[in-house]
Amino acid sequence: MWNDFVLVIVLLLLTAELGILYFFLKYNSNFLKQIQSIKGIQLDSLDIGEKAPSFRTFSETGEKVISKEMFSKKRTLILFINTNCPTCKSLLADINSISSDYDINFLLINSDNVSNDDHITKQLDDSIIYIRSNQITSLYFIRNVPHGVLIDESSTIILSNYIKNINVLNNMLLNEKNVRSSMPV
Amino acid sequence: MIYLTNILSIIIVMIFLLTATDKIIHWNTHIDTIKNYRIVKDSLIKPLTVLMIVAEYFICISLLLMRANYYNLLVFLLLIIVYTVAIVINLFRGNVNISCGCGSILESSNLNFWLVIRNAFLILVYLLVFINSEYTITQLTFYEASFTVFVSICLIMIWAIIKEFIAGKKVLDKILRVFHLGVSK
Repeated sequence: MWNDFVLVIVLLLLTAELGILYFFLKYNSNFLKQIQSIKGIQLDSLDIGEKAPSFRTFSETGEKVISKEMFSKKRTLILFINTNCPTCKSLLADINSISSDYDINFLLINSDNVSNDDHITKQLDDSIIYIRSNQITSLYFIRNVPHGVLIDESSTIILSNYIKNINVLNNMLLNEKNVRSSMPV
Repeated sequence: MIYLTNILSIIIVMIFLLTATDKIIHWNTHIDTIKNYRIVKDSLIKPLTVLMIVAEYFICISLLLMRANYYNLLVFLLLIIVYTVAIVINLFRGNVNISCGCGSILESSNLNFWLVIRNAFLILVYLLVFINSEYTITQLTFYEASFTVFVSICLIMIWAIIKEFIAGKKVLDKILRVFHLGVSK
């Protein structure tokens, strides 16, 4: 009887102790999440070397896009843009040449699903896959456009940059091409 | 066996009580999560969610008051199979970057194959309780019943602590990477 009573008290204390530990960890985890609101710190971001999030969607031409399959075939450049972004408009004129100069999959993702995008569709050739999706933009934690993300055949992000102008995009691809060609086979 | 059956039975009751309550508290978030699964029509989401929450409470109450029987076993299997099929469909679609919507301590920020294994394990646990349903908590003395209840709470707390610790560690590692800090080992 006495032993049972002691055992129940011990278990009660253990439960309380675990409860305190749990709430301490929860408090700690909430504090860490709060750090994200400090200016300049972006914890919700995809770093170079991380796996690119996968997605399945339809392009504006009605073609099914399965990211996993696409990434595994050859390197993929995803360029995030927005219909109303002036820098994106200036890039559009030259992106067709990028897609023909490099042996890559070229995905153009517009974060705007609403506005009229005729000026974009008119300028694109068939080799560029154009998708309108705010969801994919959020999935890649893209906050400023235009933003380029280069993904290799193992679905790993190898480059991720804000694209100020077409030269930045060209240099980004060129540097990666040089690094790749200098690697021992 | 009587202790094991009762401990497992109380663990199932507590898990479903926590998940169902969490779904009610975070109703809007849960509805959005179900929408992200892209399986059910928008108009059907709310009635189905209510049905699932009622089913979860039914399992809790019937298991606690009546013991495991064919009725609650059927509801349990239906519920877990529906959840698992929804997860598997989205795993095949590649739509994995969504919260699982499991609620409370079962919550996961993305879909993965481990969720399917976890659900299969939950079914095994329930079947074990069902097979040994002749053992009920009423057969135990007050101290023995208290012992089983506290051990069940402790086990759930340990599970929650481990999950919280792993999640906190991930955020902490990211912060260390952002500030280019290393941890001396």
